[in-house]
Amino acid sequence: MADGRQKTAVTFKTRALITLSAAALVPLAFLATGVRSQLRARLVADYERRLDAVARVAREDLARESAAIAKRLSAVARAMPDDEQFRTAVLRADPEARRYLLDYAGHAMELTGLAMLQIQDSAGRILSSGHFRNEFDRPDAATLRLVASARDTALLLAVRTPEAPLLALVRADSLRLSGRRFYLVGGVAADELQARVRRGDSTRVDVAWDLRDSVVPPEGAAFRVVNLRYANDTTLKPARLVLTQSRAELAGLERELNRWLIGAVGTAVIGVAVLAVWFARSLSQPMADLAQATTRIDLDGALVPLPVEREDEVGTVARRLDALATRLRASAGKLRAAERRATVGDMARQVNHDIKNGLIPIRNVLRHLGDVSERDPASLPGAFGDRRRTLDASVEYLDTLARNYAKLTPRVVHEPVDVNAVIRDAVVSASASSDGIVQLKLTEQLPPVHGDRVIVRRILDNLVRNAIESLDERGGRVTVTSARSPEGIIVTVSDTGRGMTAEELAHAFDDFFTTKADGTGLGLSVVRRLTSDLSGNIRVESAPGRGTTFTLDLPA
Amino acid sequence: MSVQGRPVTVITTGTVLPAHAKAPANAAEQFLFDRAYETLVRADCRGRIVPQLAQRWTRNTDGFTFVLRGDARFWNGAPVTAADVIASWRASPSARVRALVDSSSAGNERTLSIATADSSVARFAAAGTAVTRESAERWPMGTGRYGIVESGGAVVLEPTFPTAARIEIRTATGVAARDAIDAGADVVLSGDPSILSYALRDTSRTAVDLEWDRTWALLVPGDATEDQSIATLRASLANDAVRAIARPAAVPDWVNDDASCPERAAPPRAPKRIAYSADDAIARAIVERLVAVGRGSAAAPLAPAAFATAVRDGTESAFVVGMPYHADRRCTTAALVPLIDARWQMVVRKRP
Repeated sequence: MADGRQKTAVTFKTRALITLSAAALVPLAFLATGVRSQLRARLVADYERRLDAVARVAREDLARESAAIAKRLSAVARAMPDDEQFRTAVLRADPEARRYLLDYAGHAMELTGLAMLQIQDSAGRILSSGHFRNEFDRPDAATLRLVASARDTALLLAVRTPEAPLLALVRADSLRLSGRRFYLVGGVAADELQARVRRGDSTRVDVAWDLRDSVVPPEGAAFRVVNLRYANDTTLKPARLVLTQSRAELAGLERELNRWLIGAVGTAVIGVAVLAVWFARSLSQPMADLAQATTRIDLDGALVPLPVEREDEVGTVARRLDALATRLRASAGKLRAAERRATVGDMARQVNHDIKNGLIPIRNVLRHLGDVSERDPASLPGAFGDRRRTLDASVEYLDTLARNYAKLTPRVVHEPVDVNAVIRDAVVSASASSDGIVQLKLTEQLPPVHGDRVIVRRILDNLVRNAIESLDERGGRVTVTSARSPEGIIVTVSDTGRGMTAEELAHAFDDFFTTKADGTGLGLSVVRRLTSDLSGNIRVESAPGRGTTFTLDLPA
Repeated sequence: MSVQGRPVTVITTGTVLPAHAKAPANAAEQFLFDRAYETLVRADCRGRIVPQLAQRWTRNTDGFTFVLRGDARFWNGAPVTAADVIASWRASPSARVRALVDSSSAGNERTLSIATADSSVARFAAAGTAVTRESAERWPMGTGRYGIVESGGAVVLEPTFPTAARIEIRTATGVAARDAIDAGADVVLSGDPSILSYALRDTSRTAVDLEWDRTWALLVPGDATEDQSIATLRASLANDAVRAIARPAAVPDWVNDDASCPERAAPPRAPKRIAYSADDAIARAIVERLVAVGRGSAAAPLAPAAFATAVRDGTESAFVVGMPYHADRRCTTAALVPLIDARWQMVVRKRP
C-alpha cells in the first residue's frame, strides 16, 4: 500500500477454497462430459442398430408374408377343381349354383385368412369376390395382368371395396378347369402387414405407394426403406415401406442421463464446496487464531497462550513462536535488569554527585568554621551566623533530594479504583491556579480499575501537571478523557502546548530527563514505572507546536 | 298348431323386439303381432277388410263409427272400451296415429266415432293403430288371443284360451339356427335362403311362401333423371346380390299412380356415396352392388339411429332404405326408386 497501488487481498482461505474446488470440479466436469458423450454415442449406435434390425426383420416378414399368400392361394386353387358346385357354376353357368359361386371367394377368404380374394376368368372378369361380394361380373383384366406378371413377388394393390379402397399385398395363382384357365388374386391388408412389421410403440411403419404418398419422417427421426412394387392401373411402380424409429425413447434416455449426471455433478459440487470450505477453514482458522494471539504478545505483560499442543504445522509454528516469545521475554528481562542496573549505577553516580554537591558547601563551611575556631575562636559565632544560611540551604537541598529519591520506591496495593473520581481530584489539585484550562470528557459507568489509588493519583497528577506546565503564556487547553477499552480503561491527557521534538519524545520516559529549567527529570520516568506496576501501558504522541497526548491503558 | 300338448317351437333368423310391437319389421314380428295385438279391422289374405277388435263399423257423413266386440279383453281380462282405444292412440309414437285422437270420441264404452274425410277404412288396419295398454312387462299389453311373456331366452306366446298350445319363438342365425333345426324346431321363419334350404333338406318339412312384405328402394334427395337400365339392375340385385328371397321390385301402386310425383323412379347418375343402415344386411348387399356397377362411389354404413336422422334430414347423397311392401308413403321431395321386394318363407312339418 505504501506505493499507492490498490491490490486485492486474497486470503489464504480463499486461495485454499479456489484451489480445492478447482482440483475437484475440473476433473469431475471432464468425467461427467466424457461419460455423457460416451453413453450418448452408445445409445445412438444402439438406436441405429435396432432400426437396421427392424428393417431386416421387415424384409423377412415381407418375404414370409408373400410366401404365405402364395401358399394359401395354392391351397384354394387345389381345392377348387374338386368342388362340384363350383365347377357346375363356372363351367355350366348353372343358375342354381350361382349364389354358391358368388359366395365362394368369401368363404375361401375366411378359411385362408386372406383379406382379399377374387376369382377371375381368363378374360379378367370377376366371377367371385371375397372382399367385395357384389363386384361380380366386373372386368378387371389389367389388374390380373399386372399381378400375374409379378410372378414370385407380392405387389401392393389398391383393391376396391364398397366403402373405400383397400391397400393389400397381393399375389396371383391360376388353375385350369376343363381346358379353361381361371385366376386367383388374393392377399393380406397392408394395415395387417404394417402392424406385423411394426416392432414396439417406437417404430412407425408407413406405406408410400403410387407416388402420391410422401412419407415425411418426424424431424430428427431415423428411418429405413423397404422397397416394394405397386400395381397401378396399367403399370408397376415403385413403392416403399418406410420404417421410422421415433427418437422419443432416445431423447427420454438422454434426458434421464442428463438428469442423473446433473444430479451427480450438482451433489459433487455441493459436497466439494462444503469440504473445501471446511478444509480451508480448518487450515486458515488456526493460523488466524495464531496471528490474533501474536498481536497480544507483550514481553512485559502476561503470558499469551498459543496453540502449542497441536500436532500439525500450526502447532509447530506456535511452538516456535512461543519459544521465540519466551526467549524474547527472557532477553527483555535481562535487558530490563541491565537497564535497572545501569539505572541504579547512574542513580548511584547521580546520588553521589548530588550528595557531593550538597556536602561540598557543608564541608567548605565546616572547614571555614574550623579555621575560624583555630585562628579566632571569638569570631566563631559570627562566622557561623554568616555561613548558617549556606548550611541550611545545603541541608534543605539534601532533604529535598532525599524526598525526591524516595519517590522512586513503589508500594502497590490492589483495590477497586474509580478512575473518573481520581481524574477529577487530580485536575482539581493541579488546576488550582489554572482554572478553566482543563476540560474533562469522561465516559460514565466505567468499570473500576484494580490497583493502588495513590499510584493512579500520582500518575494522573504528573500527567495533568506536566500538561498544564507545557502551556505557554498565550494559554491553551488541556483535555482529559476516559473511555472503555476491550481490556479495561483508556485515559488520555492532551495539551495544546509546545510539544516535543522527536529527540525529546525518544527520551520522554527516561529518568532525569527534563525539558524544564527546574524539573527533576523523574516525573515521566516515575509515571512509566507506576503504570507498569499497575500492569498498564502508556504511550505518547507529540510534535513540536502541536501539543502532546499521553494515552494510558489500565486493565480493569 | 298344437303339437300333442307340448309347446310349438318357432326358430326365426329375425329379431323380435318389444319396440316393434306396433311396427313389425319382419315376418317373425308380424307372426307375433298377428297373434298378440289387434287393430279395429284387419286385411284378410285376399286383402279384404274384415272386423277384428271392432265388431262392426259404419260409414257416415262425418267419418266412421266403430262398435267394439263385446268379448274384447286385454290379456289381464279387463274389457276393452272405446276410451282404451283413444288412450292407446294417444300414447302412440306415431304422429299420424296420435292425430286420430283429436277427431275421435267415445259414444259409450263400446262405441267409437271418428271424424274423417278419408273414405277408406283400411287405415284402421295399420299395425300402428293396434290397441295396447302399458304393462309392467317389457311387452305392451294387447287384446289378441295370445299374451307375450319372455322365458329362457325365448319370446313365448301364451294362449288366453285353453285349447291352444304355447308358442316359443327363438331367434337364431347361422350355426345356431341349423342346430335348432336339427333339434326339431316345428317352424322355421326366415328370409335367409341358406337356412331355409337347410331346413328343407329334411324331407318331412315343406316351405310356405309368405307375402312379399318388404321393399328396398334407393332414395335420392332432390331431382334425378330416368335411367333405362334400372330393370337390369333390379334383376341383378334380386337374383345375385342379396342373400334373400327377392324379386325385382314390383313397384307399388302408390308409386306409379301418383302423378304429382313425376320424378320418382330416378336413380342417381353420378357416383355418390350411398348410405344404409348398418343392421340391414339386404341394404348393404344392394349398396355394394350399386357401388360395384358404378352407381355409387362408396358405401356408407350408418348406425340405425344415425341413418334415420340422415334420411329425415337428407344429409347423404343417396340412401337404400327398407320399408314395408305396403308402406303408406306418399309423394316426397325425393326420387324413390324401388329396387327389390323380399319375403320370408315359413318351413313347417308336412301333415303325416
